[in-house]
Amino acid sequence: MNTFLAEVEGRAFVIARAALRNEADALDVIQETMLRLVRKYADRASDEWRPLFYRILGNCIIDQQRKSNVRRRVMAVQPAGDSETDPVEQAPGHPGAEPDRQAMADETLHSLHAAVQTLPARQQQAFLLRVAEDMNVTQTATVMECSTGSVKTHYSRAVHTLRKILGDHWS
Amino acid sequence: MNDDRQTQSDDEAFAQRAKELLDAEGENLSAPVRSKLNQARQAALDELPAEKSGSFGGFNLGPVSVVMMIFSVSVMLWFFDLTLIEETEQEPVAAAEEQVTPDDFDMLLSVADLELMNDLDFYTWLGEELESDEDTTG
Repeated sequence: MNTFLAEVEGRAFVIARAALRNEADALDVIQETMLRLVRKYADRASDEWRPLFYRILGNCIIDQQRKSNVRRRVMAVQPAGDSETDPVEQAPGHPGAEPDRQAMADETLHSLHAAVQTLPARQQQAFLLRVAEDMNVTQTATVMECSTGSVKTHYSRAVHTLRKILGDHWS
Repeated sequence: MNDDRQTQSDDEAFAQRAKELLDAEGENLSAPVRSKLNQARQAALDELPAEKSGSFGGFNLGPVSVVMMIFSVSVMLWFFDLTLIEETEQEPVAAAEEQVTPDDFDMLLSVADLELMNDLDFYTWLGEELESDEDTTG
């Protein structure tokens, strides 16, 4: 189990961060996913762990997105003066602090994350499982508990939307 | 038809680029993130029931080792029991006298008696000397 979790944790974190755009939330989701897998499915055959892990991860991401939406609505109701965010912390880093190439890659990645977050949950899941986790259509269908046809549709729509959104950033 | 092929090819190129970016992101995770992921994994593994993790008192034992250990203990207990029964049948009074009591363990574990055991050779020699003296005088 340790080896399996060590293998998947990095990619799972990338998927969670792309879907949630928040590092702390992504880490919480990974923690919860690992705990649920160990508690409920540790006695299953090891080849079943991967689809189970990503199914739990998908559910946890959706739960977290709902919580974040509620939080956002509550924060929107609060008066602006209550905000405790430090403007210095929020300011972008100095452009010269990193090499240009890395900065460009970071910018592209951020725009990809932002675009992925606008996708409907099922499209987001299909895209991230197929691209970030390199799953084929059948494996993705197993994780998403739907037909391979649905996976193809979700994935195709996701790619189409992302290409449309990213357009200029994607050269 | 050509448009469809072009679109498919563009989609594949897009997906490939996205994959490269996400792969690079996964490979270049910061040390604090890696550390937190490691902590999360350890916390999850702590939830594994003892029998599933295969650990016993901090030692990792395979099923064969556990079976061998149980078998050895069973044989030892059976053998000890059999010896006791034989002694009891042959000399009931002597066997009863020789039965181990908790006091014997206390005596063995006490520091004073450990010192006595260190001087056991001396006391054996002393006993033999006394016996030989008795023989010569008596």
